[in-house]
Amino acid sequence: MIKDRYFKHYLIPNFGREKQELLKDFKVLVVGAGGLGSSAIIYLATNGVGKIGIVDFDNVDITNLHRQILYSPSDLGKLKVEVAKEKIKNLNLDVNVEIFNFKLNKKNYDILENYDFIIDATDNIESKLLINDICIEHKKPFSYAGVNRFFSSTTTIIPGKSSCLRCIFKKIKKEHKDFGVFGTVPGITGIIQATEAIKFRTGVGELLTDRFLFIDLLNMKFRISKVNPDKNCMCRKN
Amino acid sequence: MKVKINDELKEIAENSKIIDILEAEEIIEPVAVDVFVNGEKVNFEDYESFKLKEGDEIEIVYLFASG
Repeated sequence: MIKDRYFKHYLIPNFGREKQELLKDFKVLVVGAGGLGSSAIIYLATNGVGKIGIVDFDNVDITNLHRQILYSPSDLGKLKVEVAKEKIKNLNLDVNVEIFNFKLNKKNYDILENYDFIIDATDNIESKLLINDICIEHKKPFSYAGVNRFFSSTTTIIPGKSSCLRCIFKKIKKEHKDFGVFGTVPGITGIIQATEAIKFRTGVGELLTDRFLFIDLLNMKFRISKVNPDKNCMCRKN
Repeated sequence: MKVKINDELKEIAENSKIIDILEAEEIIEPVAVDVFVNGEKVNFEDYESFKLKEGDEIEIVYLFASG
């Protein structure tokens, strides 16, 4: 067997070369290139996802560096999407990268159409709900994740099949205070999002659908809660 | 009285309601929660009136907004 960068994948019986090949034409859009996005993007790239789209409007700031592992002190002030693209090229030349230097909104979200799976790595509730709603409308599978202090939660949503955020949460605070983020929390959570994307494409294992994973790194607890689709939710009316 | 919150046994005041539990968990600071008591989802409109009883198993699902 030829030893290339995916050799250890080929040795996994239910993954192998056949599943690896499926990733070559897999297109994943990562919305937000911050803490969640950094680790998700790095693992999507090293694992051979053929095309990665990155949406972010921000520049690298010194307060990003303890958790946003795509960036180094020499990147301060640079556009995140441009630094991320360069980083991916260094990691894996097989990956095609498309960057979007804007904030996703109701006027530009048609970029989602060109992707197979969306990763919500945004840092505010308005964007998370927007991604939920447009993914439901366009039937795009996606991974939600959010972090706070030592904690995070994540779930995978397959529109029309599994619970969306609006099925589960009926009263959501719109104001968003900065409570701080412990450096490793978005890293581990973004890796789970990348894992879900790869599992979706390859069909291996069980997706995190209709289940919410709560991660508590303060007490090192991982807890899965089962959640139920709401038959009256907007996601059922599409 | 003793109840279980996310699998952890906790002592809470008699006649506690769901809102009391959520306020006690404020260090987590979610933007939204989903609450189940003994496996049944509780509507958010009832968080202030739903009385908990000894032995209840409460499950709280958290939504966070940062990234």
